[in-house]
Amino acid sequence: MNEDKHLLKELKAGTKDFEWLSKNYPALQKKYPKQFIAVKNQQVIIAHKNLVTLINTLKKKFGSPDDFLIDFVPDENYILVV
Amino acid sequence: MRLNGFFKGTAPYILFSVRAEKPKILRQIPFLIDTGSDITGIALKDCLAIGISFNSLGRPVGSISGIKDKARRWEIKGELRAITQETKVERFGPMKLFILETSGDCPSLLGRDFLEQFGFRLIYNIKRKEVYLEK
Repeated sequence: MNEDKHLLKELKAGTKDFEWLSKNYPALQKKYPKQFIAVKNQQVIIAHKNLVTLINTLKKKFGSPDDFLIDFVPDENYILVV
Repeated sequence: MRLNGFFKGTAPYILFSVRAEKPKILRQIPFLIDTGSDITGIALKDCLAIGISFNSLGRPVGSISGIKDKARRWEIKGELRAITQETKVERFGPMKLFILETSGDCPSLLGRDFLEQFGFRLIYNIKRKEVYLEK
């Protein structure tokens, strides 16, 4: 039960951050093209072109990247085919 | 049951908390809902954030083929947890997940295997800005 409460709290916070990213996606594409971003509490905390550098910076500053939504922001010409 | 998704541009995404024991995984990961993918997989970007070292995973079980490249893959068992529209936690698993050695910009993928195993259908309406999984 406690695990569910904790998980629900985490998922609500994560959902808010991802909703924020979704709504602000065009602006983020202009500001951080081809960069990785770490988002927490509806803010970009760190952005960097190199993913490993971004993760190492999060580790150094915050101890762990666990609480951050990490995502790649493509530029406007990017086409993803998977 | 409805699990709401999100758009990144026009691409449909959904957020899950992923839990696995071997390797240890406990992280929220946004998945691209990819009905063209046979499998559900965790991409390099999220593996690095979790701290997974590919060298520690042993031999890959194979590779995945995309339109351009092939990527090594490792099979694990895990559980996906999501928040429903009614603000409840739902668990999906155990299910087969793959660790994918993709490029850094490639997202983690929620494939057809998830939709089949748990009986979901994808509703995608870009004009109404609606995306969700429903069953």
